[in-house]
Amino acid sequence: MSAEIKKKKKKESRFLSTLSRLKKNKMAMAGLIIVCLILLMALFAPLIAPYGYEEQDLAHMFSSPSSDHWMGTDNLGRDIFSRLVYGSRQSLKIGFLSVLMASVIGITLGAIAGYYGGKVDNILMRFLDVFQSVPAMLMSIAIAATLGAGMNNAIVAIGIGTVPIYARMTRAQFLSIRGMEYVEAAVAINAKDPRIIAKHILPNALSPMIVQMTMGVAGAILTAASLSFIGLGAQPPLSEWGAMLSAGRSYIRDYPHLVMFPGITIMITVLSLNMLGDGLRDALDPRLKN
Amino acid sequence: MSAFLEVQNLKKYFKTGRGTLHAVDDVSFKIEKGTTLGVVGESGCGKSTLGRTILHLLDSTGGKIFFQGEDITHVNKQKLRELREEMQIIFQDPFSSLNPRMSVSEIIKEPLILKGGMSKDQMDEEVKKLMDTVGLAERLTNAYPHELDGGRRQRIGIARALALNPSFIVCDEPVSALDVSIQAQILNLMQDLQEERGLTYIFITHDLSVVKHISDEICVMYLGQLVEKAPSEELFENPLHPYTKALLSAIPIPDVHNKKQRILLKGEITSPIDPKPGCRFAARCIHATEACRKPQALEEINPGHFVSCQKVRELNDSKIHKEETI
Amino acid sequence: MSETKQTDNLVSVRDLVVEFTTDGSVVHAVNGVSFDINKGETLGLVGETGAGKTTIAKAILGILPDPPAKVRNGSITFEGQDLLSLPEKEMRKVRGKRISMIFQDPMTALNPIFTVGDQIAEAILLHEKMSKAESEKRAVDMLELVGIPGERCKEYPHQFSGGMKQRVVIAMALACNPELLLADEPTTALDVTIQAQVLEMMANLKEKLNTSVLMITHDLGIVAEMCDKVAVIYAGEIVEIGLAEDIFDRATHPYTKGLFGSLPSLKSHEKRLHPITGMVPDPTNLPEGCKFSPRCKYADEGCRCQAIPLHDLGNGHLVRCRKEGGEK
Repeated sequence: MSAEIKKKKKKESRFLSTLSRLKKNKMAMAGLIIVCLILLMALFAPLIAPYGYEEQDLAHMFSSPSSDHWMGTDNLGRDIFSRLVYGSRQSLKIGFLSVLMASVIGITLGAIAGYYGGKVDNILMRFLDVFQSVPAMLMSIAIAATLGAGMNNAIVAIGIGTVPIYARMTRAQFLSIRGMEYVEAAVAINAKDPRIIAKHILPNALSPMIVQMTMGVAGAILTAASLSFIGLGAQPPLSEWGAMLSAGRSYIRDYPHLVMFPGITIMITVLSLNMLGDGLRDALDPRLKN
Repeated sequence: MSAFLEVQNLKKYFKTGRGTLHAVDDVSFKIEKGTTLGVVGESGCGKSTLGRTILHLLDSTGGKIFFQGEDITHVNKQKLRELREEMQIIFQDPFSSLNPRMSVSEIIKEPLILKGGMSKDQMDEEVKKLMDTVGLAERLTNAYPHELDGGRRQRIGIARALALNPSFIVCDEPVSALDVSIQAQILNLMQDLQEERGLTYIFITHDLSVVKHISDEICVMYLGQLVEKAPSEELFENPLHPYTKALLSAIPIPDVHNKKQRILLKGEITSPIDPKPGCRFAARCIHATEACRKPQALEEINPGHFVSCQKVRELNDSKIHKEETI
Repeated sequence: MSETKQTDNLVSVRDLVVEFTTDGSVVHAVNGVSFDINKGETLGLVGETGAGKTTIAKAILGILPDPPAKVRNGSITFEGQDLLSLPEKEMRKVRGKRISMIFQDPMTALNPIFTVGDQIAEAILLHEKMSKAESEKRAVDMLELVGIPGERCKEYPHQFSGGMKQRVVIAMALACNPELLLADEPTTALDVTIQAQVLEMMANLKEKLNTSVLMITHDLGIVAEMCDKVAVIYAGEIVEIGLAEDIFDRATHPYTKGLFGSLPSLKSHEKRLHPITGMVPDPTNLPEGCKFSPRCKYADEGCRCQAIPLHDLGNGHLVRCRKEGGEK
């Protein structure tokens, strides 16, 4: 009768207890709020931005921050604030999707290598060795160049380029957790491999991964900037934070606001994601419950 | 009638970078239903490997295992699933043997979920019963292992092992990590469970007073080999193998008046990697001679008392008189 | 064996109170512990996990991490000097030279990248004015003293087995001829036959060097073997203290009795053990009155409402029980 309700209650209570632990962590909450604000900004960009992202005001090129242009204009007379607001759409997309892709593939590969070991492990890891012997940036550029220019290809390129990081971390975690007695206990009560991996090893392996993933978002945004610098990422006039940063680089001496504002925006995003990631890791761990 | 569990010439070798590690080498014994076989030995003697090999948590390298008269040395997946419902294990470390991300009820419920055939209500009911059986208060249902002390954690491990209603449990140092007062509680619980459910135990430990207390029969292992096997009382009253003697004399006795004479062994346990044939204890044994380098066989010296030492008769002349009277 | 022993006091600990503060809650680790160790004497400190044994030893050596630990009260007098008020600079001269400590885990106590000889020599050089060559010679002597061939001083820790490592650790602790040795479960990580070797060696060395020892252990067997006096500690308090014979033959406190009842005996044929019911109390929330009362079958209202003082049974045998173990 009430079992269903009870079960539901328990599921809920676990989510709530995680949330309440997160709430206690002020840094994490600050991070969460900023991340939410940036997401909202991306969602409602047309309502927030005073100008269009490609609207040029050729009479006011390189103008400093003023009441008309809160963050000034760039070399083509476009409003920097508006471009940042619109750019959040591209940047967040690249950041989150590429990390999602890299972590899903990486964690799967790492889990297989770490859990089964032996030949499978050897083959997978040697493959990743070869992969990693090429710098991640170069690899991303190579992939993007092969796939062609464009946002989606940039996401795939960055995602694949960072797979080895997640695979290696997962494998190392799996190797140490696989030897724990609770995994042996699960084998002894007839648990099958997928269950052991999903229920007993993965949740205990995730902590360092969450931190890596939040840092990965930041890394992806910056890599995307380099890609667009050589014309492979977001295509102009589409705005994107990294692209704005690299485009403004040539004017850094005379008009520092061209790089300052995108830089600050990226920094705030990365910082708040890291704060949220740290807090999330702690909140998800029942051992740290108070 | 065949024994409840019988192990014949069981071997488990591991390949390592430096050679083959003989963790369990040619071990044979039988256990009758409802009794406890104690396995004692020092670290690295292969006692834990022995337990895990019997349970098929590790594959055996050689030898045979019979369970209730049936050869279970090599079994298919289906049979293994059935076997595991009969054979369970309780671990040493109550910290690392419980998944820190699962609550008490989730841990105890998991074997029931895996077995299937029970509704959620039935499972919850069963978890409640199991917790009651092992003496865990109901309010702990949603607690996490890290919130509990070692004794309670060990009770969770016992409840998990009992959930499938097994007839045979390998207890791998279940009380070694616990304080004495808690250790006594757990030992009593295990004895009660044995009586109520007719359980058969293999009790692996390095603690000789614990093994004497709980076992009907005891195997002494040294570097993967079985050196002596005897009924519990007999072994402690009349140890025959030089290693067993040294081991027994090494236990500190909580008695200030009875300072006994120690047999101090020289040296330490050598490596079980690619061991030479013959008695592995010979290197530390004061009685060792050239003949000890030949392989030794387990020999019945007194009724039910087996020793693997070629010099046993010579060394224990006075103690083997029973033989003539029979 | 105690007739020739001098009775000069070496250390006296009085009313020691140590608290740990973490996340706003206060752990009452040590609650008013007093004891003396005379020269050449071994005091056994027995108790279960979390009873505060190690904290007492660390307080004597002045190595409690502060924060979170704080010595709230009490004094530790070592040869007339109050160690608690000694400045860190002075304390450093005492630590390792006059008082040294052996930790439970020999595996982590040695630095893997130096040879054992170098490590012992370094411990000596820290406190003694001598040349490097002299200190190395002394290190070799120390190794031989603990039963390790001197030529092994050029080897690294990983080349030694567990028992051998613990011997090296002991050699290091004894290198400067300390007057007091704090041994924190020195043989717990070792196998019984190796434990027997190490205990035998420690007993011989103690005899030879006339070192006083504070032996921390949970194993009553080791206490019986090594100690002249025993202090049984429960929830940060000494519940019973006295000569080893008194404790083992005339255990009075219900907790001490419970400890003995919990031990499976090699001699008796009793089929069931008599454990202490319940669990060690939460050190952040200790019970009022007698801290053992919630687990004690003799306890009544009187035990729960007031702090129980130590009661003298004669011959230095003190017990913290108003009922003297249920007999009155």
